[in-house]
Amino acid sequence: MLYQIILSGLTVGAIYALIAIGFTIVFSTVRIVNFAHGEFVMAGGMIYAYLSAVHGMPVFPAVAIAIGACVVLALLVYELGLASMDKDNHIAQVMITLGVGITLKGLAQIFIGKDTQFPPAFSAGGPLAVGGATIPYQMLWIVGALAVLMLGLYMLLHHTRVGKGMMAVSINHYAATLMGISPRRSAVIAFMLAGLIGGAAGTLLAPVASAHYDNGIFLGIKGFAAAILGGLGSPLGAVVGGLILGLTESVTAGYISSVYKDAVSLVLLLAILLIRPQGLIGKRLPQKF
Amino acid sequence: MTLTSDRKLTIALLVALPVAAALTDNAFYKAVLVFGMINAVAAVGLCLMLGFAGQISLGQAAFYGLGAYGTTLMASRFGVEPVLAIAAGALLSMAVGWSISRPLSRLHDHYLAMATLAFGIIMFIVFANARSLTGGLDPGTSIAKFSIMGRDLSSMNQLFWVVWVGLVLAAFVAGNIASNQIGRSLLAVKMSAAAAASVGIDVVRAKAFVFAIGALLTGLSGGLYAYFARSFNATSFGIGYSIELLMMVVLGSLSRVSGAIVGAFIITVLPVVFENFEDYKTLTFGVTMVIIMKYMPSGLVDGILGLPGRLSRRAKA
Repeated sequence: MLYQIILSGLTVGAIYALIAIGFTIVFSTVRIVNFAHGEFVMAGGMIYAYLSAVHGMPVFPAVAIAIGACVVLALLVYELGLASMDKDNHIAQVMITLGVGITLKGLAQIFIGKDTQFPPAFSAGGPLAVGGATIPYQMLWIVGALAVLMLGLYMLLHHTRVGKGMMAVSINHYAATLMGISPRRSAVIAFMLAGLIGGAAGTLLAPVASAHYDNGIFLGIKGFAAAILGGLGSPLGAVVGGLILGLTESVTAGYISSVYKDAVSLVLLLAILLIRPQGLIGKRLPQKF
Repeated sequence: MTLTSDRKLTIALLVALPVAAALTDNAFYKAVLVFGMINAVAAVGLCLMLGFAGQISLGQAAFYGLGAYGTTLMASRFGVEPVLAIAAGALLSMAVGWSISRPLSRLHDHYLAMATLAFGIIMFIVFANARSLTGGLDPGTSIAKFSIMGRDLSSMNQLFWVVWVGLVLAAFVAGNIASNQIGRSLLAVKMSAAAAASVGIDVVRAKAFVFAIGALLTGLSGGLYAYFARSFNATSFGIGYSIELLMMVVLGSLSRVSGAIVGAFIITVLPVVFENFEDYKTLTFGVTMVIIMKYMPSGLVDGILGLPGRLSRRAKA
């Protein structure tokens, strides 16, 4: 029982970690909390489900197209909605990203439908039995994808010009501009990465937890909780935060109450925001007063 | 747009409502008017928080639900007089609003929005699952007819006046706050919390005050909704309603009471005017919110009213 709870907690946690990375990358380069981010995850799952159910597409082309579509969506969201917004009007920023999220949800509702969708798992075959716990293959895909994407992100940020530029923008926007790095280009790449990783999270999650047009905001807030838990701005923190959050939820569901598991993780989010807004592993920031 | 013109517009709207109600005999239109006014009460509450003090809240549905369930519990379990039950519901909501505002006052903009969103979702989960108190999603809960001192006042005509009094109260409270020292200190907090603190404004107290009043008005609206709907379940108090309230304020005005009332009526009437609106509601709301916040961040009605001034300034330049 305990093994099973830990395993499913880590799986859900890996998904939260993937969502959290999107928040973190965008926050680092653009300094906004993207309220539409959860909708990329929703869109990934919904488009994958739509392609495989309505067009009978095999798993991998459908997943690739779904993820690609999320990258394009994220690009459009940035170019049409966010690129020219007022940097000092934070309330307008919140409402614009929120509005973008609602728009994506509305599009999914109209073009894909209101039904809950269960797309097929990535590989067929029964679950593996390991030491009294069962591991569905999808669980391995999820954990594997997290590892691959993290490695890729690390390589991008530390070993390419583009990635180093993004790091520079996140450290000091103004100085980076003076060094000839385009913050706008960094922002575009940050959004496309967020769309890619978010969309991937959506396609990975949908076979285990279903896809529904209304799920985005919940997935988003969980991912944000994970990002905050690990300290917003740190990809590694996002992974740690995601895993902690996933474990907390599955332990709550297993031993306390499954209806209140979401409430518990949101209470955790509030507690972190109020007590350690820099996250569990982040450094304390100076406060104005 | 000055405060006096906002006050005049608000009074004109409040006078126009009974006239509109008198002109129609259609019970359905009357119900739409009453529901519009209920929404307007909540929108005025959010307008105070968001427009006057810059405190964004994505969890207003929680206060609306607290008002509705507080009222219902007082009336059904303790047999309290309906007017007092509504007052108790509104006060319960205010107490919760005040107590969460203390810790939340440390958060700004993006974080505050996320935290209030989380609060709204937590409260929704509680409403949906604390079935012994709320009836949850199924079967929900119901409340006796509205009455004052045993006199039944539950017809739509009578309910109209009850809700109208509620809206007048809300507008009066908001109008007074806007035009005195508290309102000016809230505006200062909105512009810069640090600058406000430096001239001796107690920022935490100002934020707690506006959260409490916003929660009070939204709770009042919830109590009125309980008597309007008479039978309801937790779905009325989800994120969807918080977003609708935000839309009302965005469509009307982020800083004027009259704008919030107009916005509330637009959002209430849309599904009545357009058939199949429910299907396109989400998409329409999303696109509208983005466009308004990008091009008219003070709200649609305000933006349109300010357009001639902006154009003439541009022509001169």
